Order: sequence, then structure tokens, then C-alpha cells
Amino acid sequence: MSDNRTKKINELVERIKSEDESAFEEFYKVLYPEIYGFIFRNTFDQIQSEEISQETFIRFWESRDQVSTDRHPKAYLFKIAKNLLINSINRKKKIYSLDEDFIENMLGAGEISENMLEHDLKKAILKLPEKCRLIFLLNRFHNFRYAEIAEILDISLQTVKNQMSKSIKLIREYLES
Amino acid sequence: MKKITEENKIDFFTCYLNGELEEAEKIHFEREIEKSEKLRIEFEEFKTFWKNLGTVEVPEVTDINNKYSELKERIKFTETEVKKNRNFISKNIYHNEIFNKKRELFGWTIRFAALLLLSIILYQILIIDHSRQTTITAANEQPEEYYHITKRGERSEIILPDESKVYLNSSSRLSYSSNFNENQRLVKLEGEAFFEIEPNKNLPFIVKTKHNMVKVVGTKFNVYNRDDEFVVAVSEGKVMAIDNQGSIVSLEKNQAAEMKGNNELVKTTGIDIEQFIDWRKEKLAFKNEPLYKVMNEIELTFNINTFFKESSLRGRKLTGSFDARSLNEILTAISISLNVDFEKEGNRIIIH
Repeated sequence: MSDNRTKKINELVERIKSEDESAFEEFYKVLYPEIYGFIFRNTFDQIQSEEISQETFIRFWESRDQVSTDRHPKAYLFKIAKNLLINSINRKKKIYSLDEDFIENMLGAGEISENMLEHDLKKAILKLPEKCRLIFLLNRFHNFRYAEIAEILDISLQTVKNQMSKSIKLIREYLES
Repeated sequence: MKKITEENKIDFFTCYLNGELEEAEKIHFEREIEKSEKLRIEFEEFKTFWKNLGTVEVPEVTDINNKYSELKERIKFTETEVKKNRNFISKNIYHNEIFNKKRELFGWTIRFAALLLLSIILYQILIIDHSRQTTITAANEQPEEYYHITKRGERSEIILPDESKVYLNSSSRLSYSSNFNENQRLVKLEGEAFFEIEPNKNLPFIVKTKHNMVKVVGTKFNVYNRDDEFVVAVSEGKVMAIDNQGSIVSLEKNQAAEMKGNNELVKTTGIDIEQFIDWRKEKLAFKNEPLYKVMNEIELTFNINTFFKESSLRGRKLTGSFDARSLNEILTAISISLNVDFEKEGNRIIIH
């Protein structure tokens, strides 16, 4: 993530901590699409992605006093999103990474302009074990450094590297088959 | 310096493209690439692969402003709810206490009441002042809350700004903001209500209860929320029931979802929707009643006004028992049996 963008977000968060609603509005408009994208790539469910995204920002606002600007507020936001996502997945008690038909069904609904590669890629991502999938998505689509990912997921830096390595391997294997 | 092997070359590629290699490692890697043709080709291949990994499309977010309004409403409801509640109830409590206090405290409570009254008046004045200003500077506009409250044994029919209808059961409360239907359709419910929602794809209709939410585009459904119990039952259309964690249960006609306490939403299919909206079955029965009495009854039940354009119709006698579920159904039945015409004009029914 570019330094300018980081600076801008930190500035907004400072203002949010002082109850500045317009800063929160800007913050929301800038980061909602990213959060939404993150949840969507984990679920491929529009409605659920919207819901979790909204809840993420509500909780961010509610815990604005605890956000520290010297430690990646964007990572904090993603942490909230990740927790809500995992709760939701657990409550649904669904095991994403296994059933081929289930995954096919999930992706089948309403995908219009999609080529084979994209379709296969979606399947590959869904088949990743949960931690691998989260790490991969955070790195590839949201440009988080490994250290930041470690913070979001509450794991060690080494684990992030290992799991990242595993993810790439699994995806390659799947795409080649 | 770590050697680049078959085992770890993928990791090297990934870290290099991610900028995760330290400066020394980076230089080492670039040198190795230059040295080995094979490695360079593999790296180029990986670069393409890495690029393709980014092709997972995500639906575009088109209505971000609406979404922000919806968010604001949801945040506001949880924060101001407590304050408004206190304001609303405290008036009654203090009023009662004035009469129950002992004589020695009488003087103090009078003073307190006067102060409270004064502050309420001031508050009202401030609101009026503020709303005058907001017509000029819309940027700082504070939307007002509208409340519909039913007492015990009371029921009401509410028509929302978007023409959606809400049938409120007794001891219930429905509230929404004054900018409802501008960029959001969010209502808050405590108690029970049956909803008939006008379709609007751009503004989903949301019912918020203590721990849950119901989200629809246009449909008919019943929502029940007292204390920590929540039940939603669908009469028509498709409805999304959501809990605090964002878990969603999708419901269709003759399906219901229930949640007790802070547990999961449990879905039930094949329900008899009539059971869930039994409370609405108020029977209006008439035996040889003159029409003006009938219309009186209808006025009380549905909270509307009626007006006889032709006064000779007032004496027409009506006998029958009506399921008081829908005003339109009753009017249709009456118009057929008595050969009268009903015309709806805003909140009035004109009989001729």
C-alpha cells in the first residue's frame, strides 16, 4: 500500500477518534469496497458480504477509542471483518474447502461474464484451508505485508510465510490438474 | 545468503513480487536470475501466474451513498435509542412521583418538575430553531425520529412514506427517521407487526429489532420481537433474516425463522402463516347495523376517517362478519352487499 494512502487513512482515523463524522464517512467510502471485496472473495455471496461489511464498520465506529494510529488502522478494520466472517462461517457450520458440488453450486449462481481461468481460480481459492485462504487473499488482493497479516490473524510471521507458500502450491496444483 | 533451490524457488518468487525480500536478498535474487536462463524463464512464468491470480472479479459497489445512509441509521439507532427511551419514560415517572412524594419533599419536586418542564420546552424550542436552519443548510441536517406506539389492546395501521403498510400489534413500537425513503428504508420495531412492503430494488426495506434485522425488497411478512425472542414469518415474497453476527437465513412463503436469546437463527419450513398473524384476526361483526355505525367501527379499528358524501347512505343496514385483516377486503365486501362506492382520498374514505 502506498505511503500516501496510509498517511491519508491515518489522518482520517485520528479525526474519527475525535468523533468527526465526515471523516468516518470518507473512511467508509474509501474502504468499504475493499472490505466488501475481501468478504466476497471468501464467500461469493453478495448479500452476506454486504451484511458483514456493514457490521464491520459499525463495530469499527463503536470501538473507535481503541484504534491506534501507529499500528495500521486498516489492519484493525480487516481484523474486525475477519472475525465477523469466521463467526459467520462457524455459525453456518459449513466446510468450504471440501465438497466439490457445494462449491460448484456456490459459484454457479449468477456468474455471467467469467472465463474458465477465473472460474477455476475461484474454485481453487474456495478449496484452500481457511487460514491459507485468508492469508492469500489479504496478500494478493489487499496488499498487506506479511507482518500486517500476522497482526490481523493473530499468528506469527513465520506461520504467515509458511501458509502463504502452501497456498500458492495448492492453487498451482489445483489449476494444473 | 540462502541458496535458491527447487524447493524454495516459488517462495522466492512470491516474496520478491511482494517486496518481502530484504535489500541484500533482493540483490542476490536478481543476480541469480541473470545467471540462470532456466530460472529466469521459470520466474517469468510465475509472474504471469501471479498476475492471473488477481482476476477474481467482485461485484461493483454502486450505491455507496445509500449504504452509508443505511449505516448511519443503524449506528444512530443503537446510540440514541437509550437516550430517547429515557426521555420518553422519565416524563411519566417524574409525573407520578410528584403525586406520591411526601409533603416535606413536595417543594423540591415541584422545583424539579418545573425545571424539567422548562428544559423540555427549551429542547422543543431548540429543535424548532434547528429545523428552521436546516432548510437553509442541508449539510448539517438532523433528521427527526417518528414514533408509532400502541398501548395494550390497541392496534394500528401505519402507512409509511413509501406507501408500505405496517400493521402494529398492541404494546408495540415502530420508529423511523424523517428521511425514510430518501436514501434508506429502515424502521425499528419493538413488539409485533405485519408488514406489506412496496417493492423498491434500490432501497431494501430493513426492520431492525433488538438483536436482529429483516431485509427485503418487497413482500409480506410478520415480525415478532419481545425481550430476547425474535420470530419472523413470511406470507409472500422473499425475506432475509439476519442476526448480530451477520449470519443470514433466507426465507420464502410459509417459512419462518426464530431466535431465542443470543443463539442461532433457526429456520422452519412448511408453517401455517395464518398462525403467525392470528393476532390480526379481529372480527368485525354487524347485525343489521346502520352503515354510519359500521364506518365508526372501521374508523377505530383502522385509524382512518370516513365521510359520507351521500348522507342517505348512513342508514343502510349491514349484516355480516368480517375478518378484519385488510381494510380493502372489508370495503369490497360492504360495497358489494350494500351497493355503495368507496373512494380513498389520503387518510379518508368517502362513501357514495
